[in-house]
Amino acid sequence: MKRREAPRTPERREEEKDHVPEIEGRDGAAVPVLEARAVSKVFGGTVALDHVDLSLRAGEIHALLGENGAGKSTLTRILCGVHRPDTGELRVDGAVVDFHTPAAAQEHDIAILHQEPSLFGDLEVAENVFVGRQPKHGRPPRIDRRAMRAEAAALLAELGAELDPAARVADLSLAEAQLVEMAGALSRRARVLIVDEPTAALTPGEVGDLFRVLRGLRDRGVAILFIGHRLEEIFALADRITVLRDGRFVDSRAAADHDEASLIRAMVGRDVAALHVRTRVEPGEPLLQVRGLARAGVFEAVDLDLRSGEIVGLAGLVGAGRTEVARAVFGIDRRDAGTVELAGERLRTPQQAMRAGLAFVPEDRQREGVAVELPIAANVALPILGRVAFHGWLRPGRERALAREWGERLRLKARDVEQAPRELSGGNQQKVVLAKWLATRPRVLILDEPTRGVDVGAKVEIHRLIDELAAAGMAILLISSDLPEVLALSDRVLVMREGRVTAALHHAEATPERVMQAATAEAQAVAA
Amino acid sequence: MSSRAARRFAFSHEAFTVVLLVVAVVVVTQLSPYFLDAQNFSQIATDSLEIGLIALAMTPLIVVREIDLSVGSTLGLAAVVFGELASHDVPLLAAVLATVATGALAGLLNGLLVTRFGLSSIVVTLGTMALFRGLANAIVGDQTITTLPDSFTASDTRYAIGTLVTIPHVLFALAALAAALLLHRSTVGRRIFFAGSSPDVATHSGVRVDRLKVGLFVASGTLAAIAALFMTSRLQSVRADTGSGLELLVLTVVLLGGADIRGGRGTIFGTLVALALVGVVRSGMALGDLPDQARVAVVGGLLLLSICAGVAIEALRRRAAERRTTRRIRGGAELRPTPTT
Ligand SMILES: Nc1ncnc2c1ncn2[C@@H]1O[C@H](COP(=O)(O)OP(=O)(O)OP(=O)(O)O)[C@@H](O)[C@H]1O
Ligand SMILES: [Mg+2]
Repeated sequence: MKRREAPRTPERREEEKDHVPEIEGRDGAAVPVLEARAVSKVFGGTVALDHVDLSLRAGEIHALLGENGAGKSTLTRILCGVHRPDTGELRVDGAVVDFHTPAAAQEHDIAILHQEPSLFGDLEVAENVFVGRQPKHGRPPRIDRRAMRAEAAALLAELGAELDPAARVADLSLAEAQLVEMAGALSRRARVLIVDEPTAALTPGEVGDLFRVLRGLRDRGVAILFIGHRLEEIFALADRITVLRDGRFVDSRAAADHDEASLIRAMVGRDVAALHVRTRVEPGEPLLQVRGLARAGVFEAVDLDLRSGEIVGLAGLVGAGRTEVARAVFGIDRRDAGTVELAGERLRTPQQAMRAGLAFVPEDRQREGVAVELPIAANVALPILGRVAFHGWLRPGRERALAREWGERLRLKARDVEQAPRELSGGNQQKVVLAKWLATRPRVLILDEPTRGVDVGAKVEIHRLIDELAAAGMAILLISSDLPEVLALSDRVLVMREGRVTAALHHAEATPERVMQAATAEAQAVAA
Repeated sequence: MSSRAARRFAFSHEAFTVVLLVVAVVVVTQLSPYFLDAQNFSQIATDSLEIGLIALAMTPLIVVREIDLSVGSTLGLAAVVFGELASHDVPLLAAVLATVATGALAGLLNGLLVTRFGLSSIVVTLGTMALFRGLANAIVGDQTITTLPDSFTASDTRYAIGTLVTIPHVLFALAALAAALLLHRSTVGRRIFFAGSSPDVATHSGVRVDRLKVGLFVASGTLAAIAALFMTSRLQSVRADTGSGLELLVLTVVLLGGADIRGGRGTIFGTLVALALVGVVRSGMALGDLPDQARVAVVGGLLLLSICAGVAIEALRRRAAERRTTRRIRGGAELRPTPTT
C-alpha cells in the first residue's frame, strides 16, 4: 500500500456541502432548479401523465400528492431519467435538458429514493451506499473498505440509523433498506433530492429523524420533492404542494394555502373523512389461540387470543418482532416453542393454516405479496387455486371473474385483470395483495401493514372494509406502524418490544403515549 | 387472436424460434436434395425423441429456477441397468420397470439434495452427472451389451403404423401433449410458474415449492430412463457412455424454445419448435457429413444464439412499445389539451 487517499470523513463532507452556491431562498423569485413543462407519458393503453407541470426551487420542500396511480412515481422517474417523456420538456436552471439515462440526471446532481428499495441484496450496506463510487486507495486502485464503511456509518448516523455498515442488505428489514438508499442519496450531495414515499414503512421516531435530515438539506439549499400519503406529514414538512389527479395537474400552491379538506378535495375530487370510525361489536367465540410461541433470538413467550369479530392491533417499532410473530403463526418460519390453534385445530404449515381459514397479508408486497410478472387474475386466484379450478384444471374465466369482483370492491386501478402487477402503481399492487387474501374468505386475517403506500381515499376504503369484515365475524390481527390507524381500529392493542409483548391495552386505555412508552425501552421513556 | 395477443406473440422468443426453424428448413433444403423427404423427416423425429422426452421435464425445471445436468448420465445408468437385466433373461416387463425405477430414484436423489440442503442444482447435478456415469462404468466397464431380446430391439419397426410413424413417435406425442396440459392448463403448472417467478410469494400462498421441485426432478430422471429405453431399442446396444453429452442438446432445445434461465418463463410449445429446429440442423449436418466436433460447435453456437436472442427480443419489444406510445401521443387522441394554470 503506497499512498492512501484521505477518506471522506464527515468533516470533509461538511466542507463540500458549503460549496453549494448561495441561492435566493424560498421566496420563489429564483429560476427553478428543475422544471417539468407539459410532460406526458403513456404506457400501452394507460395515460400515466397528461401535460403535467412542476417546478422545484432551491431550498424548498415540495410535496407531490395524488391518489394511487395518479402518476407521481412516473413523474419522478421522468425527472431522474428512468423514463423519457412523450411530450413536454425538462429544464435544469432554466436550460432545456434531455435525460437519456439515469446517469445523465445524476450528472445534474439529481438523486432519487425510489418507492420500492432497489438495492443489491448480496452486497453489504456500505457498498450499496456508495455503489459505483466506492472510495479507492492504492495502485492499482482498490476499494478502500475501511474508509467506505466509516463514511457509510457517518451518513447513517446522520440519518439517526443504527445500522452495521458491514451487514448484508438482504438481511435488513424494509425500513432499514430504505435508510440505506437514503444514505446513498445523501452521499451524492445532490442539488435535487426526490423521495418517493419514504415514510410508508417507518415508525414515528424514524420519520422524525428523516424529517430532520430533509429540513437540514433544505436549509442548505437543496430542492426536495417529497411524495407521501399521510397528510399530517405533508403539512408538517412541505413548503409547496402540487396535486395530481388521474395523470393531470390539478394545482400547485403554498402549503399554508391548503387545509386537510381542501387537499383531499383536490386529490380525490370529493370529500372523504380522514379516519374511519369503528363500529364495535361484542366479540364472539375464540378463534385463534397462540400459546408460548417462541423463536430463539427473535421473539419469545408470545400469547395471542383472537375472537370472532375482534380486531387486535399489534404495535411496536420496526424490528420489534411483529412481522416475525405473524410469519411463525402462519407457519412460514420455524417455531422453537409454542402452539397455534384455530378453533381448536392445531396449525403447523401454511397449508394447514389456509385450510383452517387463516390468511396472512405480508408486509413486503413485491417480494412476498404478489408475483409482479404474472397476471393479476392468477395472483388473486393462487391461494384458492384448488377451489377455483375444476379437478386440478384451470378455469381462467372464473379466475378473471374472481379478480374483477375483488378488484372492484377495492377500487383497483388496472387496465384489466390480465395485466402484470409490475405495471401497477405501488398502492394498487397493495390492493392486489389484499384482493388475493380476501378472496380466500378467511375466518382469521393477519394484516401486516395493510395500508402502507395506500392513498387517503383507498385507506378509508380499506379501513371500512376491515371494519365490515370484523362486524361480519372475522377475527383480525392488525400489524401497523401507523399508530392512529391501530388506535382507531383495534379493540385491543398489544405492544411489542425486542421480541416480547410489553403491554396489552384495551382500546379505551390505549393512548399514543402509553403505546409508545411500551414500545420503547423504559430508559428512553423516562428520559423523554 | 386479439391484436395485443398477436403483438405479444410477435415479440416472443417462440416466434423467433419459429422463424429460425423456417430459415433452417429452407437452408438445409437448398444444401441437400435428400432432406425434403418423408422418410428423412421420420428419421429426424426418431433421432429427436430422446432429447425431446427429457426436454419435456427440463422445461418446467428451468421455469422453476432449477436445472438437471445429470440427465445424460441418468440415461446412461438406466440403459446399463436395462442391458444387464435384459441380457440375463430377466422378463422384459420387469427389466423395463426396474429401468424406470432407476431413473426415478436418480431424480429423487437430485431433488432431495437440492431441496433438503438448499444446494444449487447446478452443483448437485454436476456431481450426480459424474456419479451416475461412474456407476454405469462400474456395472459394465468398457463392454458393449448387444444380446438384447428381439421383441425389444425390433419394437421400433415392428409396431410401426404405416412406414413412417412408429410407436415411440406416438408415445412422445402423447407425452408432449400431457406435459403441455400439465404446465399450461393445470393447477400444478400454475404453481410451477409462481414458484419460479416469485418463490417467496408462492411460499406465502401455500405452494409447497420444495415438493414441486422434487417432483420435477423425479420426472426428469424418469423421462431420462424412458428415453434410455427408446435409445436402446433404436441402437440395439448399450454401453457405459450411452447418452453422454445429451444434456447439452436438451438444454439447447429448452433455452432456444424461450425458457428463461432465470426462471418464471417457458413453454412446451417453444420447446417443441426448438426441438424440431435442432433436429433439422442436426439432420443437415449429417447429410452434409460434418465431423462430430463441428456438430458440437454448431449446437454450442445455437445455445449462445438462443441466450442472446432472449436479450435482443426483450429490447426490441420495449422499443416497439415506445414507438407505439409516441405515435399515439403525437396523434394526441387520448390526451387533453394542456391545462392552463
Ligand atoms: N411500466 C408501466 N407500464 C404500464 N403502466 C404503468 C407503468 N408504470 C406506471 N404505469 C401506470 O401509470 C399510472 C401511474 O402510475 P404511478 O406509479 O406513477 O402512480 P403513483 O401516483 O406513483 O401511485 P402510488 O401512490 O400508488 O405509488 C398507473 O395507472 C400505472 O398503472
Ligand atoms: Mg408511486
